[in-house]
Amino acid sequence: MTRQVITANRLKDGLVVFLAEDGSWADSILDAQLLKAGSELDNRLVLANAAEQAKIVVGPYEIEVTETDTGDIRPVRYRERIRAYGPSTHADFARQDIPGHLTHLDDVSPVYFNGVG
Amino acid sequence: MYRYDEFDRNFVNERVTEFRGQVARRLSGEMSEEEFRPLRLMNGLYLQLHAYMLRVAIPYGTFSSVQMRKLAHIARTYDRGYGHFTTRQNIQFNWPKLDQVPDLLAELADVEMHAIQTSGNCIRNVTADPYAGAVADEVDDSRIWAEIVRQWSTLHPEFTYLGRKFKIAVSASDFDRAVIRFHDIGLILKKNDAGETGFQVWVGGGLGRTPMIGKVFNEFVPQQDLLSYLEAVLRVYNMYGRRDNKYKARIKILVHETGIDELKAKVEAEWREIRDSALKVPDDEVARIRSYFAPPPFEQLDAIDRSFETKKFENPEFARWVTGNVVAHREPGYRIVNISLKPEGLPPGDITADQMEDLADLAETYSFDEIRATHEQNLVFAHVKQSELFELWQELAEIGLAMPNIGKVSDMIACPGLDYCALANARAIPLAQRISKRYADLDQQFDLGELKLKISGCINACGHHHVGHIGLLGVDRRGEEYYQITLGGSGAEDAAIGSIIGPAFSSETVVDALESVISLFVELRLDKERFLDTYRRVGAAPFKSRLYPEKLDAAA
Ligand code: HEM
Ligand code: SF4
Repeated sequence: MTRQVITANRLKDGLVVFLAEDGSWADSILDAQLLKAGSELDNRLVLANAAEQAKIVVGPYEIEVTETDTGDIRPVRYRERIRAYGPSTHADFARQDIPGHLTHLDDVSPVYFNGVG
Repeated sequence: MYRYDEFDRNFVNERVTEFRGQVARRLSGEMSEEEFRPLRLMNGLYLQLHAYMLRVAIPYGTFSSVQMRKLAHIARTYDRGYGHFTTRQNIQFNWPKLDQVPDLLAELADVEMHAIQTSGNCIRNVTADPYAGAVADEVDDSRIWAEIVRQWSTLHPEFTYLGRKFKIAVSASDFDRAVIRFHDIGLILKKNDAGETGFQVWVGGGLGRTPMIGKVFNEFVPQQDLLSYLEAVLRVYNMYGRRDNKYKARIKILVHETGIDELKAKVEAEWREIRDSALKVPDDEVARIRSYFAPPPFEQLDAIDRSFETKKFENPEFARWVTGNVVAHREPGYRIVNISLKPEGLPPGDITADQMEDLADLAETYSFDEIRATHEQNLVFAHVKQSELFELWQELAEIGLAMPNIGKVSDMIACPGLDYCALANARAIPLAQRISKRYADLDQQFDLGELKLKISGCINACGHHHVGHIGLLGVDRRGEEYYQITLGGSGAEDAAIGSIIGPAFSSETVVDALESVISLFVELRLDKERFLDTYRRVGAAPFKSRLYPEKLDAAA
């Protein structure tokens, strides 16, 4: 089943962040709050927009995600997977702070990470 | 090299101070993102997919070892230990933090560098031939004129808020190493019959969603009239260029919609008004700027160095690198060395901080302390002694930068694509990496000869796919990465825009499709034909039927 999470870039350093359950902005998508489309999402978007007003983040929006077998949150669109896990161009450039980031990207970039990496 | 005068120094320092204030107001919330965006763009700062991105200008592509070391320091201190050379003699940093950017810019200013005119709707940093001042076939050093244009454009009050970005490039030879014909204005230095220097002026070239080859607006603008002519073109553009639709705002659209004759007449009329104004370029000013680009103290050397010939004979790998990456210099005993930033399987144009420092040292030892950036995301040491090529090659090999693939299939241009760019449809760099692995065999690459492969992640065409002999364009097909193949483009003196060969290929199949195209070329080529020559001779049909055999079956 797909769920939504809210993402943005943090104003101060520009890095990708996700809205967590306690209202803070987490660095890792694994700490994002899963939301149901509809009023649950809408209410959190109000909070996210307030965070933009409060100079915490830039350009918040929602993305579709699924939960993997291991319980990890994973974006549906590959654009958002690259945002969440980092560039797929070089193993060192991917998000080292997300356990399994290479496996997640492996899925986006099968040929490359099998070959180099 | 050009050195800042008092005026330049104050200007750049003032801009840093001004931007520091703007960043502070943004962080404190006095300014919204909408208000801040145009200000940060005026200072080369984008907000991309993962982070902010800073584009730093390398004016006319020439920089010193001291500047390269500073870039290394910046990569390490403010970024993640690497930088990325682009197609317009810029370097991009992909991970700077907003609150640290003012400090970063202040450090750049310490070595006379900046990020001004690298973004936004202004006259962008002027580019030049990367072999300027070294190659025998040039009429004059194109950097002198690029700097004159730079000084005119930087603070020009009329041209700070143009309808769209405006790109100017300068070259001085019949060989186009600066994609002159695909710039808003491309300038080629020429001599007339009287032996005077002037410019052939190309207007209205560009890539993006509406690729256009520039048109010659004037065959010979005398050098002292260059700025008044440019000013006339810019004024006409500012007056008549469209502002209603940003996709139609480039001067190429104005040229296309108005027609070349009518627009030329408008430019000429404007030019007559201002030709004899203060815009005349005084000879002493040219001389002053020329002195910054005075040739380095070359030694008197023999044209042929015996030890070099022996080394080539003894070491085939060195010989291959010389054949692939080294070109003639106008001084006897010197050579121009291309340094490929396309090592096998790595992102085109990327360079680590360690490599930057090592290259800075090598430039100091072997090339009069000077480095060039090319529009093909490579670097150049412009003045290397033939007798020292072997040592240089060995040292480059040690830092992974002796790839002998200049102009070959693995010397690709690739834009950042979806790995970094918020506008992308598909990734470009990983595709380049896969192709580079597929064609890892250097014998095969040399057999294929010159083959310009260029990849863009979307129709903005930052990766120049329209002018690739083979171009690959990322498109989005129902949420999947697909790639359209174009054939027959060229960004050089034989300029052409490639044609789309047929429906796009999936990410899984596109490298095989590319290989089919290339193997058909090998079957069809005559003598020493390049891919482009064969394609021009046989046309698209054989490539279409090789790539889409099922279509033919259906038609039969
Ligand atoms: C990642 C950040 C980048 C963004 C957001 C970006 C955005 C754009 C856009 C929107 C255009 C189309 C402009 C127009 O037609 O008016 C463009 C054109 C272009 N960009 Fe980029 N770009 C980026 C990076 C690069 C890089 C890394 C390169 C070099 C490798 C590059 C080189 C160019 C060139 C050569 C053009 C074509 C200019 C023309 O239309 O004639 N850009 N870019
Ligand atoms: S071509 Fe498109 S994807 Fe590539 S850098 Fe330019 S805007 Fe981004």
